[in-house]
Amino acid sequence: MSETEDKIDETTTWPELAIGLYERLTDRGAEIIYEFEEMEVQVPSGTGEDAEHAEWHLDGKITITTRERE
Amino acid sequence: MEKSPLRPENVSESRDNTPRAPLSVEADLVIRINGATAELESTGERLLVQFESVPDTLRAVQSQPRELVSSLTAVLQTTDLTVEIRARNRIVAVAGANARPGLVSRFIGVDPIEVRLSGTVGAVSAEMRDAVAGIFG
Repeated sequence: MSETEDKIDETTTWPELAIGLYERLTDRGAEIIYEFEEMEVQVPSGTGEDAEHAEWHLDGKITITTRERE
Repeated sequence: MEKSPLRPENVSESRDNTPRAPLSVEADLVIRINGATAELESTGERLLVQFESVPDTLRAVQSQPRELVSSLTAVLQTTDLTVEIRARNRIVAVAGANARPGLVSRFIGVDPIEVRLSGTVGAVSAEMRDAVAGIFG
């Protein structure tokens, strides 16, 4: 496993995950394209059994690339 | 300063705001949150979430877990991205890198989200104007 992949595996927060994604995309000069077709997600309000859920419905495309650090 | 329930726990008051992972996003997406529909478009560094009405905006925002809002804000700051929430073509709130939450945000407990009072008033006025026109027009 590469060093970059190790870093992504070790992420514990969303910002760290974003940094890992940035490094991976920058290293490869790549972009990520997500295409959603009528995708439904139940977003829980917490981790307990009695957590309420917000219902998200996604349809469309999103493309992520990197910018240079200023 | 009073601690905001929406402030990311991993973002301290004195944190370095330099974006560590600036991303660019192109989006053409329709999102429906608990029945409230919004279109998501992007200009690269700025994501525009356009709701059809003020009640739709409130329904979508209020249904989000606070942990999700906190995590999203931290990610937006790290990636130098800004989300503009619009209702009736007016900016009612801003989150992320270019958000400048002020007294209003702190007073209503949505810091670090910036509330745009002028946009909110404009959107509500447009909503009421259309409602009156619907009744008497």
